[in-house]
Amino acid sequence: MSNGRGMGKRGLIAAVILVLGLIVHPSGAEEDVAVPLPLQMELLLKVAAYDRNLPARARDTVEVLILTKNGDAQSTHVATQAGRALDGKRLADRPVHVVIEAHVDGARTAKRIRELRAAIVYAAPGFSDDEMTALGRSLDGVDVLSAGALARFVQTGVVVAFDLVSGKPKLLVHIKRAREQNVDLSSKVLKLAKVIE
Amino acid sequence: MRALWRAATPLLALSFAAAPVAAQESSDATDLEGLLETPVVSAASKTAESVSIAPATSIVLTADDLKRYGIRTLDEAINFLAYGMVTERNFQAAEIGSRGVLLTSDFGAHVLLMVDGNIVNEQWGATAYFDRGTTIPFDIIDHIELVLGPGSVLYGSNAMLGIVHIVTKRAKDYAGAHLVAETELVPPGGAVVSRASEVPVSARVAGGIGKEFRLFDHPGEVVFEAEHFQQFGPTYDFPLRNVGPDSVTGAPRQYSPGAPPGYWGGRGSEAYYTVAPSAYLRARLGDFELGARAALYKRTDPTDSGNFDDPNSYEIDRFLHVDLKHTATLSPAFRLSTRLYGDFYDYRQYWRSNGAEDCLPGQDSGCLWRLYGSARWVGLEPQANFDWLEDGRFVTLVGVDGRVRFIRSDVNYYDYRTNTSPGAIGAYDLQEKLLAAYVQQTAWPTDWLGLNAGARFDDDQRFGTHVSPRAAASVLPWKGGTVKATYSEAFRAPTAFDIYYYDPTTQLPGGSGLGPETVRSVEGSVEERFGAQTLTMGVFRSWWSGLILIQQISDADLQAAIASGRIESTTQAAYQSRNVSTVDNWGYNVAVDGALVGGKLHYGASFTEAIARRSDPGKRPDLLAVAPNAFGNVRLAYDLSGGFPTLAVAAHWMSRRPIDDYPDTPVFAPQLFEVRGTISGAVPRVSGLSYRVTANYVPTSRGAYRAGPTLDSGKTELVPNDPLRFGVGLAYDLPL
Repeated sequence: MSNGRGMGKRGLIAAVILVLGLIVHPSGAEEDVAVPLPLQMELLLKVAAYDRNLPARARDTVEVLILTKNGDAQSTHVATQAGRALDGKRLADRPVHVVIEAHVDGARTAKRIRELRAAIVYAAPGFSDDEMTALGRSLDGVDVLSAGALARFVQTGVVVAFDLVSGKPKLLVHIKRAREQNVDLSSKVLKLAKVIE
Repeated sequence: MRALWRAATPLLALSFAAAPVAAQESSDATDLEGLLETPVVSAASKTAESVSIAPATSIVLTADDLKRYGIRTLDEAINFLAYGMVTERNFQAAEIGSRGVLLTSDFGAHVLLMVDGNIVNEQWGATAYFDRGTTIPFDIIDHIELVLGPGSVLYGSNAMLGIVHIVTKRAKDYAGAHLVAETELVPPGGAVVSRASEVPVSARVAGGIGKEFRLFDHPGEVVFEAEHFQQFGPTYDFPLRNVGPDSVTGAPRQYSPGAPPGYWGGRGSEAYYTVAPSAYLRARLGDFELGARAALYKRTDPTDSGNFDDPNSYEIDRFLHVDLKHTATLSPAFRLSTRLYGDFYDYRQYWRSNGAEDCLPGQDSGCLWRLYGSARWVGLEPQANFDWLEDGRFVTLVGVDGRVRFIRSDVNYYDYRTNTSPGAIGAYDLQEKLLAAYVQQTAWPTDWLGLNAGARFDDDQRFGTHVSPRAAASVLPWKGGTVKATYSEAFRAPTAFDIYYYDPTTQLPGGSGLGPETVRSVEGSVEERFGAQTLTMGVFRSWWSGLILIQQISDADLQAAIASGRIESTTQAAYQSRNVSTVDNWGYNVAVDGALVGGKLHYGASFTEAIARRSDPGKRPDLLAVAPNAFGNVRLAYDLSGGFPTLAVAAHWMSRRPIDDYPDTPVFAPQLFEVRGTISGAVPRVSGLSYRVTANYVPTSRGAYRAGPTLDSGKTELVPNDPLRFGVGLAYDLPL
């Protein structure tokens, strides 16, 4: 045991770290991904399994396209974690394959979904409400289950998202968007969800 | 082990009874329902994760459960809904223990209490309250995380029995304006005496607001709630008892106006009250988060020291806290957060005594004894996350916590005649610094194996240095199953009170030689999920050492203290805090909980049994005062939905246990059983208005604390329990 000494120097180091922390920050404001990624991906696969149109959409492989916000470190990090959590998983007796790409605009994403025959598209954090609204609009008529890392994404652009309420995950489903993207979730799933009209 | 299986059998039966229902409902999305019932905890590793893979036994008590089971305080939440931890009431105060270890009179200092990641235990005496004194407005609690076992690895001092972490609601879950009013009624019965003014005995009013907004193109939110709680009564009758003449004056002492001289007791109608206003704010803008809390907790009971039933003898705590946090993900592999915090706390305890024996020499008419303690501290905690593979499989957490604290305390005896004090005694006014560093490494080498290892190094001017390691492994051997093993250590730094408290009539300061109390623990658990049902079984073993005990000093030490003028020459016996006790503890816990019928039916049950033996110098290992060796609970709630209410019933039980001054008084409190029924729901045809009605029944008339001096019959009177307690509350939510 020894008494604390040299605290002044250590305090200075701590202060420098604080200043670095406060000054250096990313271009966009960071938002908490409330539901841990491994749990969120497990939930996403489970919900997707109750989409009656998934088998027709997925064929031999369930392609999952994960969209990142260009230049957003948190977005890239979450996308990588989500990809890792889906790696090696199976859905409706088909292997899951993940593609991670930066989102440029809605039209290009819609095109990529068609090219990849993606069954699921998942938006990592970093996107503004306007960007999500535009993405949602561009997915009108596109046969895909869209999902997002943040709960607010379901208000604007995706069919499914997860929130953490009272320490437990909550399923959010945008029912109108689901219809527009040919997603047909069983009523048993909708009973467990907070349905947004 | 046989006991574990005996206890587990009924819970296993309940679980297996639910399992076929789960299997049958598999096509009914029960597997999804199960995942949606997965609790998420953040206190165990400073990272949000499912409780099943957290590196410690963790429990999440949700706001939904707090509401549906009529819970109003932390101690109620722990007893009715949790497992492993237990609390014991002494009038309005609650003491907390875990897995067979409860260290009475510790002011909650062996449990780390946090709110939104900020430590609440103050820096003078490490106090944390788990009753109304928690003073966090209750309606903004989103969930409560309990992490059982030693947890100093990331948080430092006090996390010996475990961690209680209150997480408040986000603005999206508390949107709008909110008003709450509730009251409790205690009808006469048992020790409770009828008095019209005691209906109601308590009232709570609260108002809050939650709002999301955008400012400077950044998302923001604010959550605020202010609450005022006040309790008065009920009235209890305490049998009169002759306590003999005052040892200084030789004359009988007047304990209260209504009792004959020399007698303690009578009707306790004036000095059972609590006043607890509090306010809490949390605001976020972009990467910044601001938190603030202000609270006051004033209370007394008729049996408090000094006179009997004196409303002017009381304790009062005041808390003020501000923190500012900044978080930034600087690259996909590197995340930095910085927390700056500042706190003010002070405590005053007033005891009025008409007895010269409680006062300084010469104060023969009596005195007012006042203990004052205060702490101010500021700290800075930068913390970095390195996700080396950028996918969460191999993550290093490194943090530094630097703190400066200013501590003051003194004791004054104010003479009744002159209303003056001869001067503060045992006064100290000091500045201390603490610097700590911690590291935690998590690794998921495969999908079925998770590892977590870490250590924290504390360099505290108060006592020196200490290292607290932890290592844990989670194995997911089959679907829905988790097997976990954990080794962990924790410590409690000696408090300023332990080291410096000094009273020349009774107590020498503990001194700078006092070291930290320490605990080591190993535990293993198995968790199995069947759809939305979860069964948990765990075993644990812990070794406590260096526990600080106020010990009577030897005659030689006493004479030396008198000779040096540190102790009054008239003192017959004096005391000093020393690191002398050890506790050996082991046991098991079993818990089951789940949801059925599409989440409309919630149930849960738990049982904990533990052996704890305390060893003090010169004494044989013995039981711990107030600590029950077995306790459990059971609960059931059904949401009728369709405009009908939710019906819930919860009960908890604890075994007989030694009273607070055991073994000096070898008396045991009877086993305690408490049951509560709750009806809650929306008021029909009034949008936004909801109600909650509770009825609480305790057939056991007495608790585990001595109430006053020994009765003339030689028996010990114990604190009364209220047999019946009714609660009524209304809440109004107004969208903004």
